[in-house]
Amino acid sequence: MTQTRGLPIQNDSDAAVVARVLAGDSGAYAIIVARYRAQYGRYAVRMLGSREDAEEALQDAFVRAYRSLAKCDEPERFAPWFFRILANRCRTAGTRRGRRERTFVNDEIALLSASEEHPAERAAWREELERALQRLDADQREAFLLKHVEELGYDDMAVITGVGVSALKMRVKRACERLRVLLQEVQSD
Amino acid sequence: MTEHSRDPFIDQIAAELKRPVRLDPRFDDRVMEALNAPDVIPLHPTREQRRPWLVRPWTVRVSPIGAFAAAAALVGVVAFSAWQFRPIDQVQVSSEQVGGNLTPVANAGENQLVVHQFTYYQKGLQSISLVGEFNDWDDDSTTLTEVSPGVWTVSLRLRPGVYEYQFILNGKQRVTDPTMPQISNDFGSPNSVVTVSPKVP
Repeated sequence: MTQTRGLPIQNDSDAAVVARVLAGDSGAYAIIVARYRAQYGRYAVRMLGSREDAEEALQDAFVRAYRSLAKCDEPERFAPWFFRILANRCRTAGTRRGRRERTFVNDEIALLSASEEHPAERAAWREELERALQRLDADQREAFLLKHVEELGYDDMAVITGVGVSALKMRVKRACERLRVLLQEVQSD
Repeated sequence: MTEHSRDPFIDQIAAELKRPVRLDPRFDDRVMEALNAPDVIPLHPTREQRRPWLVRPWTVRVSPIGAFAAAAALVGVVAFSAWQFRPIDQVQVSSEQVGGNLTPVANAGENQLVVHQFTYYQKGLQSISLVGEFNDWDDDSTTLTEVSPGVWTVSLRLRPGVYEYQFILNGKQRVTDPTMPQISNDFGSPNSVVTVSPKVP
């Protein structure tokens, strides 16, 4: 069983953990953090293109969620509620940073490529992909990640982003088209 | 299974982006430490946490020179305040809201806080919150009050400047202020823009 700081993370439902925290066991919140850190950390890194910015946004989201935990009306659906907070924090972080150049963590690319058959080529492809992703408009990148990486339905995406379904579909479509153009050259090599 | 592309190229990209990322191994600890930071409101505050300034003993150590400097500064502040606030700035809540969702209702002078009233008109809503550059786009920090059916307001004290903002209806739908200028943000959706001006002498 996966453990974190001595706390089992797989036994209790989100609703049970939230109830424990609200009852005064604030340490139980570590279960929530451990449970969702990886999935939502990935989203934040892909969205912001920087591990440092992503960790900052993710930590901020966890703290804000903790602070507002009593307002989580459906604790059994903690994950989408939290995702909405995180998406907002990523938007804020992205707006603050403006169009400052993003730097993707190349050490991660190198690490992931080390055990592969053609590590150099794979690393180059991943780097191009990350670069292309960060060249998308922020709204398109957000929609693409929610749809194709997080595999959310458009209705859930609309709740998270506050944007209508038809607009989201258009953003995903444009993101796909743009990625195709940006990566065409790399793919044909 | 959600709706998904059958495009192999997009699937290849998605598969790549689904790879796990590495975070700081101390990330969990950092979060839990942040929960105990002084500026985080605890879920179950103790009496001391609720009113630390009332119940905590204070220890003040002051050198003779420091005490003299503090006394001199206090005299200066009192003298300046007496001069500065000869006429008392008065906050006047404007009742005239025709066509304007943001009405300067008081001014305290240049470089000082200016009270602005944000208003949104719509009936049948459960809640409206205000998010913008002035509150770090925090959904929870600024809530409008329905002062009469369909009339929601909140007044903020802001420094003169230009601010982008949105309203959030019922905690979900982000909308702009229909009577204020708009600017497109990085996410393709518009923000309202307000210019808070200092009081003209």
